[in-house]
Amino acid sequence: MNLTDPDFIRKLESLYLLARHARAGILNADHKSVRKGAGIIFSDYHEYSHGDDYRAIDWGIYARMDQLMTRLFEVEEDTHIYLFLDQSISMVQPFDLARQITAALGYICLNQLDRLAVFGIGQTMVPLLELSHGRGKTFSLLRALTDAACEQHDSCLNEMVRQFLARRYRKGIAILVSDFFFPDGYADALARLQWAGFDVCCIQTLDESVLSCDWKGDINLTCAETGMERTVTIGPSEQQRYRQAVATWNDALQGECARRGFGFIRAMNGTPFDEILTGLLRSGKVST
Amino acid sequence: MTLLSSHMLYALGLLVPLVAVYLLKVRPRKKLTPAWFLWQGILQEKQQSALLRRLRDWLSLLLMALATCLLVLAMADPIWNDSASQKDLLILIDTGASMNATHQGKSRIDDAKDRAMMVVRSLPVGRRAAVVTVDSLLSFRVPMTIDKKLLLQGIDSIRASHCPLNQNVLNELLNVPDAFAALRCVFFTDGVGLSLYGEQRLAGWKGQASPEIYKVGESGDNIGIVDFDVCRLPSGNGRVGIFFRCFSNAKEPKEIRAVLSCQSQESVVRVFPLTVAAGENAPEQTVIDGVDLSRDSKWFLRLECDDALALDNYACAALAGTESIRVACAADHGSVFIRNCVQAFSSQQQPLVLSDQSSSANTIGADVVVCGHEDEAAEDAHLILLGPCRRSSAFWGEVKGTEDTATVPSAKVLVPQHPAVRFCNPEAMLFCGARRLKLPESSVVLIASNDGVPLVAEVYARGQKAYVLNFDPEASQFYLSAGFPILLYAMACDLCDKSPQRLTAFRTGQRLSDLLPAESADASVRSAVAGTSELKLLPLWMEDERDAFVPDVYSIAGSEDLPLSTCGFYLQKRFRENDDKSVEIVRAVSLLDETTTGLESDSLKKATFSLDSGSLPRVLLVVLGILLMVAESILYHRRKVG
Repeated sequence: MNLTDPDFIRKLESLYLLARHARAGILNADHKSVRKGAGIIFSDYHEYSHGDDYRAIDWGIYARMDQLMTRLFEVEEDTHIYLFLDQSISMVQPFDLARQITAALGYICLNQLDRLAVFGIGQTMVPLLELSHGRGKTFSLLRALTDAACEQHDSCLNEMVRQFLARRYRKGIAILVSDFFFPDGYADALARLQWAGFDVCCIQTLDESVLSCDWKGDINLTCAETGMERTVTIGPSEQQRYRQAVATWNDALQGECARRGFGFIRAMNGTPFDEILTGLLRSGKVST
Repeated sequence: MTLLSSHMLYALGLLVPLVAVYLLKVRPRKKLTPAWFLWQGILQEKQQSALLRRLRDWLSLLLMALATCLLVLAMADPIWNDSASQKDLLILIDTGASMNATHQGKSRIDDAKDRAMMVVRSLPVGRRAAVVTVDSLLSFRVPMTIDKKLLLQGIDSIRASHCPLNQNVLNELLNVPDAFAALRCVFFTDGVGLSLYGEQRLAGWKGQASPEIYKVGESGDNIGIVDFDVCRLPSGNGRVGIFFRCFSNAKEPKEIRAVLSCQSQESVVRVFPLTVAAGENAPEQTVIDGVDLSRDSKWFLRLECDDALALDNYACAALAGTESIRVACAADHGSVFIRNCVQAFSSQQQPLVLSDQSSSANTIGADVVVCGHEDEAAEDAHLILLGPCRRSSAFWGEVKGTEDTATVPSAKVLVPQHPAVRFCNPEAMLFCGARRLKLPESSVVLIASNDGVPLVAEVYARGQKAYVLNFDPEASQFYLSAGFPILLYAMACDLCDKSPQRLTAFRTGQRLSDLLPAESADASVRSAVAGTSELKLLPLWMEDERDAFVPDVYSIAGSEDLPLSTCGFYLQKRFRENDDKSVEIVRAVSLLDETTTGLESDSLKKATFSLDSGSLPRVLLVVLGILLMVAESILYHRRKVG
């Protein structure tokens, strides 16, 4: 899939405009910062101390109260947004959708002058786009996502998050695009991100075939990630139990996100990505 | 256990592709799953049934192989009687007329032959077998041999005859004491004709001969002619009466047409629209005028219907022509009355014609000459010697003693069935003037006095046949007797071999002797009229019956005559002993058998003895094989859809 296609970029532009229109509480680069500095919006007064900027002394107050006071201004900071794209083999079917969603979110972030870093989660964590900002990085992002491919191995979300946090990135918004079918689970990773102060949003991309089992009879079941084989006879009871296991897994993910206050959305393969993103932006599930 | 169709065991080779296909079939499909860990819980529970699953695959293969073996074994037609299979085999095939019946394009005889060939092919090496067919005769087609090729060729050459099965012939074979002690007999029949003698007779076989009856043929609707006769009617101009009767084994009435032809099948005389009800139908009768009765006529009756047996849709009859018999009278006494006697039988229906010449010098050309001595007639004429004179003669030798003018007190007919005296009542006649004659040894005395004086005798001499009437006609007042003209007429007809009582239609299986008056149990009559005959089958009709056209000539001699085995017209040339002349007679032979037309055998259906045809083991094997296949299908379903 070519993510640098003009039609695709045109769609991204439309989504960006939608994001600006629904700016309140969405991916907002004009974030207020608790840090005070050289801005233009007055924030507070502070008693002058040695070394302060002379230009900030409010001479009016000094005239009235004979006391040197400096004016403090709010500093407008750009947000750090971290996108995690699952590249494990289980993402083969919904991988195009996942890349489109990742590209769209990255495009919006870069156009809002946020700082964006994109990581691929495979056997190792691969930075697809180093922390950067500005519209000039848009094509770098899209080309990196175009070249990204699924690996033939399983991935461990917990280990990847641990590696990410070890790099001491600034706090920001962490958006995970994955099917969340990690054999080692996802709960530990989500907990670590929350503890590190990240706002987390989980986008689960699934293919319809994964939700149910259409196979019947003797099947040589093979693990797509490890290659393990097992011959099993599948009947209606086995089909039912599989459907139940998948539903339980997904419900647990959704419940975990709700419990931790994370944003969550489930994107089914085959649904247009812009439709998913429109819903996501309007719902405000990704916010600071 | 014996296999009637052992060659079917080659089908066991199907096991090889079966196993190959099965191994390919049971290999499970490979499916990738991205959520392997979700299957873990399910797979752990299935772990316990893995061994059962592997066993299930092999069990399924075993069931399939077993089912295939059973079905192949069923196709090989097994029979259980081991002891019987050790004996030499007598293959008895019914070739009766009913075996010509067809069902779905296959005749019963073909079915029987196929079965018999299966039996031959399944014979173990070194086992002897013989092939015998039975209809109205027993025919040994192949003698006891181990050569299977010879046996198969013999069976292949068998054709169904036109004669109904004669169970008497069969009994003669099967009831030979100890004939079957070391012989196994398999009888392929449709059972038609076996009911003639009842079930007890069949049960009798069980104890003595123990033939294994293999019933062939399926029942089918059939309509046939069971009676057909043509006769000359006394009044009218060439008036002929037609009589026929149909039989149907169909449950529902059917509308058909009966086509009557004369001389050839193309010359249709009359068409009868018929509604043939089930069972025996009322006879149909009609009268046809304007028939040329002066010569032999051949009559055909054909039913236009499509049924199981075509043979009984045809019938034929031969009506003898009234060819005149010229009678000359050269007798010294009573010539006027003799002429009147001849003229009494001179009409369109009666063949006697009085010759104009009355003197002995002018009897040339007459067929029969009534005279007192053979010198008075030509040598090629038949003679009726009336009142032997004192002169010696080749027909009575020297006359001994004087003429006995006394009336014979009583006379008796020694050969009542002889055509010359069949209708003669000696008690109504007077016999005076008889002489004591010494007749030649070949003579047959037909009427004699109680003293043994021959009164009427059939005598052969000089290459001629003559009747010697040993009495004085005038003294006997024969002109007052009605019996004398009849006697004269019967003698003239018999001398020219133109019996007015000649039968018109005969059934297949009858012997030539049935057609002759010599059928009488009296040996003297038989020897008197026995001669030699030739029968030539005339290819006149039934063009759709291939075998009916085979021209053949049968030489019939005395009592060793053969049955008339083929439907059609026969040209019989009769040669009498001591007589160079031959007489040609057209004979008509048809099936005309109600049992054969019925095509069903009630007794065989209800037979209490076992039909040792291998059907029971075959059915058991098929049922078992199907059950095994059902079990395998369940396992297969389990593998396919869980």
